[in-house]
Amino acid sequence: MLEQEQHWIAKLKQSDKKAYEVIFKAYYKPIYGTALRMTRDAEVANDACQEVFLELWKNRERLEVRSLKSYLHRSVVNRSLNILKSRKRHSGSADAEVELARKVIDGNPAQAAEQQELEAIIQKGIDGLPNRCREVFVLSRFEGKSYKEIGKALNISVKTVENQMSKALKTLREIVQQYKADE
Amino acid sequence: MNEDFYIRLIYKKLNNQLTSDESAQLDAWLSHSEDNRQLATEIKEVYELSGGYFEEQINEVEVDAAWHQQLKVIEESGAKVVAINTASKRRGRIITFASAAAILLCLAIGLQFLAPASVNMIELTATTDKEKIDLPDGSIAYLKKGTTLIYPEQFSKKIRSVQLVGGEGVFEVVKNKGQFEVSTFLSKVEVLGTIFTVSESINETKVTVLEGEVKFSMKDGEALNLIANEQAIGNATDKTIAKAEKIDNSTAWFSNTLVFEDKALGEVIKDLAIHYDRYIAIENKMLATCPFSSTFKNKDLDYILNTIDAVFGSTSAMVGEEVVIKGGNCE
Repeated sequence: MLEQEQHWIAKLKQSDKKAYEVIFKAYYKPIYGTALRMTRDAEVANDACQEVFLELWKNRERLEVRSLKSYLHRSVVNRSLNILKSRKRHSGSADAEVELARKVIDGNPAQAAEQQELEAIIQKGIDGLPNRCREVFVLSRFEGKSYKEIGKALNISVKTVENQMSKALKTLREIVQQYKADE
Repeated sequence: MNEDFYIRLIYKKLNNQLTSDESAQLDAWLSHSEDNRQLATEIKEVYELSGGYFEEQINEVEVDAAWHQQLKVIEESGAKVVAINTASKRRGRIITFASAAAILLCLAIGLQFLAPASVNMIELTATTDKEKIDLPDGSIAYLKKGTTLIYPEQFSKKIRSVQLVGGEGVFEVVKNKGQFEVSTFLSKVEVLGTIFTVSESINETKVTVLEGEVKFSMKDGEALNLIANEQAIGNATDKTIAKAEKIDNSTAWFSNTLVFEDKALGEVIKDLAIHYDRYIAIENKMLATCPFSSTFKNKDLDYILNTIDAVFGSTSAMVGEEVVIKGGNCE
């Protein structure tokens, strides 16, 4: 992703601001992508990234990493999960999430069946998945994490990860098929 | 094996996570019936469609703006550290960083000085606030603690050039002795005769003119003329210069005067925290929005806190190392 990464890491450890800028600009987008897909809120995702990079800057002198990408990645996933956890406490029961998912499925979009529209439908479908289910799906689909890694990150068993994964795929498949049937 | 299991296998195949055992299992299942193959096609469609999840927003995100914000975030976090008395270590680090940058600067500028005749350079770092330095032409520099100034033993006839490294300085410039300029890592300020301040941090240069007129330019970037009672901030990232609406309290270390004009109390305490190197918090969030106007010259923190308490009916008290302002309202 970033050429001569070790060179830039070494420079960063010496508090080289240019190196920090290069690293920030190389990794902000993918890190932001992870945060956005997990939190579904642009502002919250950006805040999470800002904090992750601030930590990087603060810890620069004692930084020992082989891959910046996975380091930043791990940080932003953890931070996003924490955000989601605190959000759950404030609002939205699991039932409400399920209800939302059902609405998406039951919704009757009148427009023509274009690929773009199908994509929009599935985006809504992912949004509408119950929290845990969506987290599992996003971590697997976009972050390429194994079920074991996902289980560890979310503090759930591999069995649960598998169940949630099947649930996500089946729900999304149902949404697509329902949409096509309504055409 | 149930359907869920095969759905996961199909997905794993698409996600390139399938083991060879699983691959054989999947192939057998697919060859079993048309329904199975139909299910696989549908899951594949879901997989492909889902790839666009938030893709557009991610592609459109403005990295430069985020970088900009990151610089502010760092600065704000730094300001907080200064306020809670663990300042010395962090400050030291920032200065080290600035000095490293300054070596380059020195070399570059050094050539300019060395060209006509060899000139000895003097490098001084202020150990106290408002340290006074008499420059060779009779001009005076006052440096904030920790700031380094590099200047020649003798100025050239055409141009008087000094370098400021990571910190703040006020310059009282003697007139009619040729152009006077202050360079920093990021910028340059040229003057004819005036009093002005230059403050440099890793991400910006701030120039405040107290008397006269200066030309403020960012290296490889914008330039702007400033007159008395004007202040501008040069941005390290995009090299732009923005004029401030009104002068802030960043020169208070020199003038020992804090001026607040309809400033939200939440902002007022930030200035106080920096100026008095204390951590200050407002307990009542409503109070933080109350506007406050006053001018304090040569006053200590207790005096100012008493004034705030008198205006808003609040109570200031020390809680550990922290000053906490409790109660009160805008009335």
